[in-house]
Amino acid sequence: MNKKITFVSIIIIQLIFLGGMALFHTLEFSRATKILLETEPVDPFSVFRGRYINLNYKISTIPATLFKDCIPRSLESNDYVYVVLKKKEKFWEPIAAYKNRPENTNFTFLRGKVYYSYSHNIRIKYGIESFFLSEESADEIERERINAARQAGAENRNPLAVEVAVTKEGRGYPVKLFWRDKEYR
Amino acid sequence: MLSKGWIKKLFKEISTWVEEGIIEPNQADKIKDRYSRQLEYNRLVSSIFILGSILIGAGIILFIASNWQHLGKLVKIGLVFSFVLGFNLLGYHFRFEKSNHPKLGEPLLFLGAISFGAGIWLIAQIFQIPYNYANGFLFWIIGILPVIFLLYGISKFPLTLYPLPEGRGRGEGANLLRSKSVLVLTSLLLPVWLSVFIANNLSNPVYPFFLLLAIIIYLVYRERQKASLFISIIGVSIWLTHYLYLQQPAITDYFSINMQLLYGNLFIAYGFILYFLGMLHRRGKFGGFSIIYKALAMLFIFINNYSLTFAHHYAELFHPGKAQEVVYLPLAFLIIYALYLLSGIIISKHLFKSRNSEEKKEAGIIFPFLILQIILMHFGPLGENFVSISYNILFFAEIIAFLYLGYLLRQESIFRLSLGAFALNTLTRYFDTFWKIFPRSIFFIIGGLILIFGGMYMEKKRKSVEKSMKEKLAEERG
Repeated sequence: MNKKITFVSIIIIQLIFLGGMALFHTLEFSRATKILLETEPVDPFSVFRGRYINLNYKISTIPATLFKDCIPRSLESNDYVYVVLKKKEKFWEPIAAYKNRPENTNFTFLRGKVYYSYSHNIRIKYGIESFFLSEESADEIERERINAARQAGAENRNPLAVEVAVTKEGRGYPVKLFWRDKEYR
Repeated sequence: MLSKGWIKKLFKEISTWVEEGIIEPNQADKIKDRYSRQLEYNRLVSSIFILGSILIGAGIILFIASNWQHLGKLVKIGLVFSFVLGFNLLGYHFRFEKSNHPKLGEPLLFLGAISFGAGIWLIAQIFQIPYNYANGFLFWIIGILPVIFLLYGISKFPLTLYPLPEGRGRGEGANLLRSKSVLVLTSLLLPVWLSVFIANNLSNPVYPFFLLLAIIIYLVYRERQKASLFISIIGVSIWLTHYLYLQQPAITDYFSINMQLLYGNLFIAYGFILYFLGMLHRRGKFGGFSIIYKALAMLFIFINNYSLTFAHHYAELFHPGKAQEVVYLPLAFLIIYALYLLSGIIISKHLFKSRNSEEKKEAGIIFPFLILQIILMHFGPLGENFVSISYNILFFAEIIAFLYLGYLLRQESIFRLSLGAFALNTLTRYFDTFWKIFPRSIFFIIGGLILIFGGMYMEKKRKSVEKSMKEKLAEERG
C-alpha cells in the first residue's frame, strides 16, 4: 500500500509541476505590459508543438549607439542586455539599451541575449522569436501572404505585427499575431 | 500469463529432472516445447502492447502539435492532466493489483510518461516559449525518473499463476519487474536534451549531462535494459564530440590532418574502452551487455579508422597543393590520452590477471592494436599520404584480428561486423586506389574473382563458425 501512496504522490507532484508551470506563466503574463512589435516571418515545424512562425523582429538588431552603460564592443555572445522600448505611432521601438537592468521603474524593457555583436549593430535574441499557430491559421497566413506577394511584389508585403506581453523583469510572451490587422491564432 | 524468468527457471529444473531420472528426455522435450511456445506468445503480446502504446503516444503528441483551436486552453490542459493521472493509475492497477494483466500495465505506464511530456509541450505552446526549449526535455526526464525508481527492479510481485519454487522467491527466478519502455524513453530523451541544449549554448561543456547519465546508467544496470545502454553509449559520443569541439580554436580547418586525427582518435579511444568494458561484462548477470559494448566498440573503431584511410583524399579535395598546417591542441590530446590510458588499465587486468585462457588471448590480440593506435595518432606531421597508408594497413590488420576473434570466441556478431568492414574496405580500395593503377578491364575481372572466391571462403568460414556456435550452445544446454 505504501508503494501505491508514493507512486500516486509522484504522479501528483508531476501534475503540481505542470500546474505550477502553467500558473507561473499565467501570473507573469497577467502582470505584463502589452506592446506591439514589427516583425518578418519564416515558417517551420516543431515535432512536439506543431507549426510556428520564426520571427525576425525589427528590434532584433539594434544600433550599438543605443547602449548607455557600457562600451558595445565589450559585449560578448550570450551576455544579457536590456532594451528599453517606447511606443512610436503604431509599434514600439528601442530608445536605449543597458547591460545592467535599468533602475527606472517607468521603463518598459525587454531582456535579451546578445547573439552577435557587430561594430555598428548588435543582434539580440529575446526568447520571443517563435509564434506557435494552429494548422489552419498557419496554412491561411501562408496562403494569404503568398497571394499578396504575387499581387503587389514581395517588397510590398505588409509586415507582421506581434503583441508581446512584457513582465517587470523584461521577459516577453508573444500574445497575438496580426497581419493586415487580422489576428491569427 | 507466465513470465520469461519463470519459464527459464523451469527449463533449468527440467534439465536436472532428466539428469536425476525423474522424467524421460522425450517428456522433457515435450514440456520444453509447450513452454517455448508460451515464451514466443509472451513476446508477441508484449510487442503488440508496446506498438499500440507507441502509436497512442504519438497520437497524443501530434494532438498537442496540431494546436487545435476548437478546444480552449483550459480544456486541453484538463485533458492532458486526466491522461497523466488516468494512464498512470490504470498502469499501476494492471501492473501490480490485477495480477492476471501485468503486461497491460507497462504500456499504460509508458503512456503516462508520454502524457507528462505532452503536458510540458502544451504549456510551452500556450505561452509561446521559444522553439529551442531544452528545459522541456530536462523537466520531462526529471519528472519520469522517480516512476522508474519506484516501480521497477526492486519490486518482487508474484506475477505468475504458479507459485515459485520454494526458497527461490528472492533469487534469479523471482519476478523482477524490468522497466522497458519508460526507461528506454528516458534514456532517449537524455541525448535529445543534450543536443538541443548544445545547439543553444555552444560554449557550454554541459557537465550536468553526466549526473543524469549516471542515474540512467544505474537504472540501466538495475533493469538490465540493453536498448537503453545502447542509446546511452551513443549519447556519450555526442558529448565527447561537443567537448572536443570546445577545445579547438575559433577558426579551425575541420579537414586538416590533425583535426581528422583528433576526432578519429577520440572515437577510436572511446571504442577501445567500450570493447574492454564488453570484456568485463562477459560473465555474470550482466552478460547480455557484453555484446552491446563490443558491437558498438567495433563500430566506433571501424568507422573512424575507415575515415582516416581517406586522409589523402580530404587533402586533395580541400587543400590542393598546399602543405598542411599542424596545430596541436594540448587539452584535446590529453583527453584522448586519458581515454586510451583508461582502456589500457582495464585491459591489463585481463592480460595479466585473468585465469581464463580465451580471455587472455582476446586481450593479447587487442592490446597491440591499442598501442599502434596511440602511435599512429602522432603521424600528422608526416603528411596525409603517410597517415593514409598507415591507417590503411592498420585498419586491414584490425579487421583480420577481429575476424579471428569472432571465430575464437564463437561470437557471431563480432564475426559479422568484421566481415561487413572487410567488404566495405575492399570495395572502397577497389574503386579509389587500384582503379587507377591497373588496366580497368583486367582489374574488374581480377577484382571480381577475388571477391567471389573471397566471399565463398568467408561464407564457408561463417557457416563453420555458426555450426561450432550451435554445438557450443547445445553443449551448454546439455
